[in-house]
Amino acid sequence: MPIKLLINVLLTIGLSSALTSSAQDTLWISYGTWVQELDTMDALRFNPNDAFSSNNAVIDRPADAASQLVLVNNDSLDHTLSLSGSADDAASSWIGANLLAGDTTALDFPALSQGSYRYFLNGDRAHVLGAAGLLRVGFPAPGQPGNPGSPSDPATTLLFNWNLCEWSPTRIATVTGPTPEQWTPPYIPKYFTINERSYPATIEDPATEVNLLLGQTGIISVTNHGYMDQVVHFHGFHVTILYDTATPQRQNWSKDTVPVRAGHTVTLELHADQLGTYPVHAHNLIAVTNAGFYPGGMLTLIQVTP
Amino acid sequence: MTRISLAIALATALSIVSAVGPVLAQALPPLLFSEMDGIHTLDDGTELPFWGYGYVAENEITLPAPVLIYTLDQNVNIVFTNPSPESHTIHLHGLDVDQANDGVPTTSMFIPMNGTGSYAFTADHEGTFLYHCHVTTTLHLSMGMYGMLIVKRPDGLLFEGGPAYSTDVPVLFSDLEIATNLDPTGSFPFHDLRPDYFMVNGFSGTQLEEPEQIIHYSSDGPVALRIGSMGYSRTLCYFPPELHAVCHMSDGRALSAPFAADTLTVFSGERFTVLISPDPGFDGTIEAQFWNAPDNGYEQSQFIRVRDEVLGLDEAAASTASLHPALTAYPNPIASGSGVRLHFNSPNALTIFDASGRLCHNAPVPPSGLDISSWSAGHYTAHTSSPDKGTTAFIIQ
Repeated sequence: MPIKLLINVLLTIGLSSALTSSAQDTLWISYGTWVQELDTMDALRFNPNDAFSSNNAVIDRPADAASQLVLVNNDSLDHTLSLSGSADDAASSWIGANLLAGDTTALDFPALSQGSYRYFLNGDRAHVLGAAGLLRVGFPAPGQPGNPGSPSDPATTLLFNWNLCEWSPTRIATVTGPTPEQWTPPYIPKYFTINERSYPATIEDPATEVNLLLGQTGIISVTNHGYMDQVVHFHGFHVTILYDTATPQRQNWSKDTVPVRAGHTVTLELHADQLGTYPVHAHNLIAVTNAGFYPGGMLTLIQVTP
Repeated sequence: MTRISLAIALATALSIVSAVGPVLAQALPPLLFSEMDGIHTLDDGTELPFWGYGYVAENEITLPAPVLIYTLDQNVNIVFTNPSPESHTIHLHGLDVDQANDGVPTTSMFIPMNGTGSYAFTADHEGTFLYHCHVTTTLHLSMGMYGMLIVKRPDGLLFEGGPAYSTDVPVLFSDLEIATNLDPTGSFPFHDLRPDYFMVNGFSGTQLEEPEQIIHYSSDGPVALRIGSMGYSRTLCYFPPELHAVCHMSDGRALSAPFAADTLTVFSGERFTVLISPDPGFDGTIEAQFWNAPDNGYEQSQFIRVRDEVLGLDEAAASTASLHPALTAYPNPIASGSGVRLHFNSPNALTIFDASGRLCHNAPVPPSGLDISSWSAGHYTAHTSSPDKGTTAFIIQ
């Protein structure tokens, strides 16, 4: 529909110009395919432009400030958007307006407290296809107010984000046909990803691999948009749990092994107090494989340099 | 001294041999060795191959590996020799050692067949830790190459400013897939590893009823349960209220706010230190439920028996009923209110009736508990079809 597309583009440009200028003010919901080792799988993703990418976008927002997000739904089905995360009722009770197929919609986000949130499309099809990203609230990027300095400044806090998920090509195939098929257990995920990347691709992504100078602090925002609970083990370091939506009582615990329950988020602070290269990985060790081959999956590195 | 604490004392004595600085490393004889020819006897008598570590002095590998005990601030050097036909390492899980001693082949080093190496670190945090092989970890861990490591304070406190206690008891959860242990070279693909045998300190089922596996406590003071998991399953522990269980530490760090532990979820690689102060004369069990990770489905329960030592070791005198405790609701009584959740020590379907006989619930209760926010104050009864659990009553105030 060329006329509708034109309207969408005009609407998007108009709304974007009214917001703070940033690619993350507009997200495209796009259907495509991605390849992991032996399998080509259908995928539904949130992308920062109209080109399909298998990686869901990260959204940043200041704390305690309402904001907007423009969504262009290029999928063939209508959707609704939800938020989860933090202990913030404003997130759990919020649900976005209907996102009509082929249409563009501006959503009003509620004011949210500092933390990590999961934004996602509702429904089993969207869940299985992986339409879920990370919304980071109240952690300014280096050089922004509240976090002055450059990434090479030892006093600067660096930001990292891990969007965890496991994938079953068999299960994905049940939602991609014209009529959804009944899926039956057992659930046997074949791929395990951080930011829709599996090791070794995880060490090529600057948001995934944790690169810090000695003495620097990193904030790692983690969400799990799969069906399976995960647990992340840090070599070389303990991290401080800033927020944990599944077990809020763990706030400020110092841990080297941190569960990330399905559908939940944790926010971690890592202080780089020793030099070296250290793995960080899922400790349910089926999740450090790609199609059954070790090593792979939810595995990346922490690199601390002088 | 209990049998378990005797075993720990022996482990401590052996470990002290290694309590020297890294400069003397090459002068030390190996403390640990690895082999791939162990035989572990399952609860049904099946003899299952496993890979593991053992003390060189004992010339035997065990499942799990020996508990290593060190003293806070001790400079440790573990000399490790590998006469087995594959490379292995020792990853000191949670000790935040430097890169060279981290036990990861690609970033640290590995000990090849017939090689010897050493791992040096300073035990600068008291607490409960683990060690395991990090070569083809998915397989080597499943085959049994793991153990517990405890760092203790010399003053008998759990941590600086923390509570005193009497005895350490390791509680290491793990699991295995029998088919993998029978045919490790045929175990591919690793993502489809589905454990079907579940253990506490390497033992399962009726093995946990043997006297040496029972936690015998005295009136000397609280018992420190050093809980950890090297399994692929999530383990959910149910502590009877008579144990007065309080969790004080996790992952080798003190918690700023200890919490009463009626239930505790332990994921692979996590550790918790829980003090129990059982009522005098108590003889019962801690239920450890194993839940598989991909499906989040209940697999099996194992029961860790806790028994007042004044009751003696005569197992014939012990009530077998206590090994499979009756259905219990906790806390009980429970105050009504928003967000209040009631827990049960059973994953099975429960039917719950109020005092007038009205059916209030008919489904399994999730591990997070049953939301009774909207339930009226009063007396309720819960029933399960499981023949060894039966019925219990609870009161909402």
